[in-house]
Amino acid sequence: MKVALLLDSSEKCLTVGLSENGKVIDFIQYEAWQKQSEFMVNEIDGLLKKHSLSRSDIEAVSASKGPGSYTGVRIALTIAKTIVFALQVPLYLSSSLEVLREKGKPSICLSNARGKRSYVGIYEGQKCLTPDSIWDNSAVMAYLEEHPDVVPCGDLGYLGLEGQGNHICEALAENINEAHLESNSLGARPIYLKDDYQKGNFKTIIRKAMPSDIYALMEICASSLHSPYTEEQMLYEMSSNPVANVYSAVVDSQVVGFIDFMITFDSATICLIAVKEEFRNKGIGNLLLGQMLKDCRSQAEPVEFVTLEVRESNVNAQRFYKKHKFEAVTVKKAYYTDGENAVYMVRSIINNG
Amino acid sequence: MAKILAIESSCDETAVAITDEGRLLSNVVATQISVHEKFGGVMPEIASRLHCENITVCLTEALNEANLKLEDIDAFAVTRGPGLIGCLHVGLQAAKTLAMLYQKPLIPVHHLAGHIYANEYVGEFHFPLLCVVVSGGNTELVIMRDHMDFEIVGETKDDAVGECYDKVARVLGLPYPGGLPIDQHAKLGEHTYHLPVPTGEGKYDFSYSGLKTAVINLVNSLKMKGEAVNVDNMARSFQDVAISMVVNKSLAAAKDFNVKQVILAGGVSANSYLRAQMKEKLEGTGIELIIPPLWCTTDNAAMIAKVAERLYEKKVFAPLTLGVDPNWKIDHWQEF
Repeated sequence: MKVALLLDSSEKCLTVGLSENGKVIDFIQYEAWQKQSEFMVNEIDGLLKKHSLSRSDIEAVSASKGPGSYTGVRIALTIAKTIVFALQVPLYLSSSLEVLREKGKPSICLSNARGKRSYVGIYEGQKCLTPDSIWDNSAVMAYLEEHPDVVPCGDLGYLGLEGQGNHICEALAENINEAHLESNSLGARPIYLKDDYQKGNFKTIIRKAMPSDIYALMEICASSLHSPYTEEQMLYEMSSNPVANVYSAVVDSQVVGFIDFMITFDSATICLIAVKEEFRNKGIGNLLLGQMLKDCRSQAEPVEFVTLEVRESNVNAQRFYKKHKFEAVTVKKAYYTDGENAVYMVRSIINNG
Repeated sequence: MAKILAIESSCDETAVAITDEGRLLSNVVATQISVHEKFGGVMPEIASRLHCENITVCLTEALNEANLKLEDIDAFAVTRGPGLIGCLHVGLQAAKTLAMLYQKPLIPVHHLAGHIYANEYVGEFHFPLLCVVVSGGNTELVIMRDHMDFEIVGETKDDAVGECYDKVARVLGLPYPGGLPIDQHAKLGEHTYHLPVPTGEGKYDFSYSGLKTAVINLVNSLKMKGEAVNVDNMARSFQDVAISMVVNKSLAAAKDFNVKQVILAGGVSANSYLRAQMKEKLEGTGIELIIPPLWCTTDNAAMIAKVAERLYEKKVFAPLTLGVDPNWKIDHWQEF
């Protein structure tokens, strides 16, 4: 028998289920606040044994990915990621609010975000009417009053209300579809829903690229650059190339840009720099360049200048570099494999800014 | 003996290692230092998030490096404490999941036992011995009379020595982690600032919060007076006091307990001044000093695997309901 494993621990409850062809065949669900870490794996083991199933019978995992309790969300997701990594089976991820929905009715799915706020998502079947976000509880109450036709779902004790719908397993089983398939299951990360980010005043962190960034970097490469690296080349730059430095720009736990540069003796070369389209013109490129200059200045052997090649047609990039005190020195004819010329640009390190 | 896959995620490194009959086949460490240096210390929630993101990538790398499949592994080991609770949860879930899927033993390992046993990669233990465990989260003197037999004879009553280094570094405007930069600046400076020598309650106990406060107060009062702080001299004055406390208490315990060896363990054991002082003070005493290789002074899973080998032989296995213990004491390593 081939089954899918269904997992959720994003709030007070621990939910472990089995489904076959999209139909739930068995599940366990109980309140295990802050105990999911201890019990969840054992419950999976128990459920598999009860149905005389072994690991080779698991053909997929469907789990929730937040928002909810930060630790709780990580427990189910870490277990799910470990299983799909071990068994090489697909991972389906759903919003932990979406899986609270009442079948066939417009549902406002809620969970306690604490500080008099709620995580809110409005769904009708598999359709999302209002994406997950954080609301003040007063706004939730006002919405409920204005929309008596929308079913409030979830554990609503914190609002002094009775919640409808407790079909997490059914929803997780139903969501085993293309729309919920996670393409980078090894690097999958939870949804934490930082409200700061939604308001637009997000914080960008520049840090050394980490192994799990590889998928995001490849995606940014593919969508932003003409001659992207292969995954192998990128991994080499990140972990093995002794002169390469790769930094990621991270916003709300999402990698949105990166820089790859080499430092060789007295000069540095920018190999790649890219920022996701929707995050451009927000100063992230400046931060990435700044990190490189900082690294150049902290070398034991002083770095004196930085060089780069940029496509002749890429005027936006050239404008960006000029703003950062780079000067076009020469044009390298047919530098790129497709025959395009490269503009060779140089700046001195001591040039501040 | 067996093939063991070990996972470590107690603080800011996601690490996976595989050993076979004691031989290290792979040792993968994804460090988060460049994230936490922005904050001057480890941010627990951010560390937990990065563990969750990186864990399966690290597992993949470790298996590839060892050229093994999960089916080949005989037991799965994991750090269950001490450490940051949210971080420990992530490694624990991964290890339990693998033990469950492959129906293999789950081995719970004490993080500090790991740091101590890291020394087995460079030398053989001769009992009784004294372990000087000095790190960002711990400062302990541990007597071992046999393998996996730990008695804590002294410990810090407040801050850990490594934590004190990080805070002092922050006050002096030096980067995180503070151990290396303070060590480097101290080499250039002289002991010119007067700092109180903290007195622990017990003969082998430590106290670092007083020293930390003294440095912060001194730096602040100098700034108020408009006087420049000489970072090199302050680093030297601080390091002299902080390290001499470790050295003096360790020597007292080593003599009183008549040990054959002294073993350094933990992040602060990378400190060059501590290494040099211990070497100098133990010379001619007949007590052998074991200093861990630098790669073992930071967190890794190779050291967790080393302990797990011992526990595998003793059949110390945990049920799948195993939980984490952020305050697990080393002398209670059999209680989980």
